[in-house]
Amino acid sequence: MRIQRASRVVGLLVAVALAAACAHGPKHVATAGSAGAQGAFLLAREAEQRAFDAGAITPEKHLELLLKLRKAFTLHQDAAKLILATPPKGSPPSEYAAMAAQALVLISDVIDALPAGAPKNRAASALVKGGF
Amino acid sequence: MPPALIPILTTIFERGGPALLQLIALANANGEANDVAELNRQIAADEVAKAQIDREIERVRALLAPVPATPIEEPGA
Repeated sequence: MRIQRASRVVGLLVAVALAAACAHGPKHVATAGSAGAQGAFLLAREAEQRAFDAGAITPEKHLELLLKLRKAFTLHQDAAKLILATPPKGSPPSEYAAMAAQALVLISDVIDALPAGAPKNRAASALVKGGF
Repeated sequence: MPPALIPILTTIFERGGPALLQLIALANANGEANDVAELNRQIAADEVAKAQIDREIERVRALLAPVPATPIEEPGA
């Protein structure tokens, strides 16, 4: 009788621990990572625009970086749609990882092309902290 | 675990366990709703960023476009 009760207690404890662990599934982690990445993308876009407005980037380079930024935002948006379509606590499909990696490479290229300074550092640091 | 604790814990979990599990289920549902709201916010923000970039691309392309040649009028012509 005592063993039966003890096992019931242990069973309940395990159920509670499992339920608590499931509250933060891969979908939730991907959502949070995607928010961090978007923050870095927005900082990179702002830093790039400031650099162009200050005359530190030629119009040709600005156009090239804008096209990269646009592609990165499109990839981020498509990846966010994939996470959104993922069932609760499920994992996003494999295309998601490829999209995220491609977007991160594009943003890294944009940040690399920026002149040294605080806006570049902020964007680079956000990219390191964020990520999908 | 002291044997005396077992009946106490059993009572707590038998009465509180289902309520606790319901609370966790509710928290999970809230977590999903929060994720959905956050992802919709991100998708909308991406759309805004893309529209701004498109406008900037058009502006820069216009800056880079060659100025159309205007015929130079000969003096006295």
